[in-house]
Amino acid sequence: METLVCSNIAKKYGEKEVLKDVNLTLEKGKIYGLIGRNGAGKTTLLSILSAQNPASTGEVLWNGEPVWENQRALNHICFSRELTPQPNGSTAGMKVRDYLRAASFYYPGWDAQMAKELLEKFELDPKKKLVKLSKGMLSMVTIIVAMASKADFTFLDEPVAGLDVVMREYFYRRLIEEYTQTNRTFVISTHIIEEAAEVFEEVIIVKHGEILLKENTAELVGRTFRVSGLAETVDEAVKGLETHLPEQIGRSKGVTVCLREGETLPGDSGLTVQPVNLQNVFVALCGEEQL
Amino acid sequence: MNEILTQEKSIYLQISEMIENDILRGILLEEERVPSTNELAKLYAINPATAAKGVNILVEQGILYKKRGIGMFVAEGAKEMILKSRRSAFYDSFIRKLLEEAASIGLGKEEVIAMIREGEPKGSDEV
Amino acid sequence: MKKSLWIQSVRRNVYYWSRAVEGIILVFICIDLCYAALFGMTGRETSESIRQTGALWVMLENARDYMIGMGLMMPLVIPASYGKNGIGLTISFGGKRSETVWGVQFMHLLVIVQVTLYVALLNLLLEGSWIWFPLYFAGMLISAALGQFLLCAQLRFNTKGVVFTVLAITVFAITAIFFLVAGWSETWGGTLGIFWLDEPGGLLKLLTAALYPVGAVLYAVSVVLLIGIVKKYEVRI
Repeated sequence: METLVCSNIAKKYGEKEVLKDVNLTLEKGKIYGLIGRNGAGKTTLLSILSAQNPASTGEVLWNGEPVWENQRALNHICFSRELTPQPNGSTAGMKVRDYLRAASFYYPGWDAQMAKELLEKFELDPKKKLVKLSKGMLSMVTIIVAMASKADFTFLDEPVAGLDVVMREYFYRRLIEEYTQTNRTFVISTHIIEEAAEVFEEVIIVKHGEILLKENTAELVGRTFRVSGLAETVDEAVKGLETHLPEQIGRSKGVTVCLREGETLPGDSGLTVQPVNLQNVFVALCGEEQL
Repeated sequence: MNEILTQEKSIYLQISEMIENDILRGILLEEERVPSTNELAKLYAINPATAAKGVNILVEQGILYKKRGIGMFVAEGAKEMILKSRRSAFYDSFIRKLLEEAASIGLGKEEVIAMIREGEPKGSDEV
Repeated sequence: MKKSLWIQSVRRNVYYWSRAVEGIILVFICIDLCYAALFGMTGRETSESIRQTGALWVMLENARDYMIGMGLMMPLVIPASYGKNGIGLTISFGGKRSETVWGVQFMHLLVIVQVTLYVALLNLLLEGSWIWFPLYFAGMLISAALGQFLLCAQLRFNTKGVVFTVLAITVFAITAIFFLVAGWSETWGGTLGIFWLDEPGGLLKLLTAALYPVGAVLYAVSVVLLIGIVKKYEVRI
């Protein structure tokens, strides 16, 4: 089994700890969703996994080999960064065509045919400069690089940001098609959680620079419920369980419960027990301070 | 009142049902103020007009009433009214569906009645 | 396996870095010609001879030394303006850090070869003296090393580094222009002629002999510094 392993990765920028002792194993042939709030450390994590940023401590291993300065390992990894061309940044004067051509030199498995096909599908003008592109068009460019790189471990940071609904739908379909044909591993970070929930086999939630959980999406959603009813009854029913995001209006109370193995909710006690979706789970786990 | 909204039904119907449920369960008592449409709108992050629509259904049925300048209140006898209307809807919303499903899998009325009486279907040990 | 990785690394370095600076020499030649034209028009002596003979050739001949002098700027300016972009981009596409450092050196080589060819051609056409050629080469080595130091500053200090680079290039350019104008003027002409012309060859040889090791050491130090800085570089594109 081909794997990419993050072992005890920490990253500090000055005094600020962006990642704290991250341990993570990515397996070949899975689509992972990487979700977390702004500033949780998602992009930094992907940068370190792909050796684009050095870690302060810890190591990333591809099949047991360190990824850092290891061309053999790097050939299997692609992190297509979110493009934000600055007027005097790296990609300032570059045209779409130049950017893709540079990528084609570097990825050993580059699929020029696919790049061309996606360029046409997205109706992108290859002669246009990156700085002149809209946010959505920049997303399309990063998607093209990620897909055409054919790398075994491919990371996409916010690939659908700025894309309209139709294009988002197209992207996820194309992703699934590519995945079923090649069994590549994809890690996709997104803030538009719900529409991608069915695509993610596993979800990795990052919170304050730590991996809060990494779990099969269906199992995570399946063990989480919203329990509501009379406040005292709710409190009684969820005693000892892992609860999040309590909300109360008058005597009415609602709380999100994550059941651990072997735990159950008492049935038939005048409570409403509702299933939740991935977005609800995420908000419950990561949004407590703000809501 | 603290349930999550689903996509299966119109939001305003879910709002009115939640308030009804709370009245039935004694979470909202008669002659007690219910949350304002603005409070409901904020809680569920929905448009206040939608929340108002849900509340107004109950006002039309006489379950809630408006006190000018103060807000919405649960009417006297509201619980009874809700019970009555739900009971009358019980056949349409539950029994009819139950019998349809039973028929489609070849269970007769008598068998269904027997199941209800005994609480469990025969041969449930296979499950 | 090992060998094919090495070939892959060389190939993509050559592809990427030669594309990054392709055509840049033509841009430079245009700037150089404009400079020569400007110089030819405003210079006293030159404009006199142009008026007399009406020949563009005379103008070029007069501006020769200064046009050639401009070539010294190239190995400094090019890496300072293309290096950072290329390093960020190639690392983000999965290039090794050490690999991309060699890519930058390859770019230096390309620039120096192009400038040398251009300068040689110009000198040949305008029938200049060749005695200063070794000295010129040493000058380009130093210029390339300075360019690489500026690149390091950019990578290490980001915006501040860019500001510093622009300042440094401006100062360098002003000094160079002053030097050239001074060399051309009657007052300084005699003194500086020593460097350019072949009369007291001994001093020229001495200077050349001294500048080569200085250039080589500076260049080596700049490469080591770049390796160190690129190793810690955080990709931002």
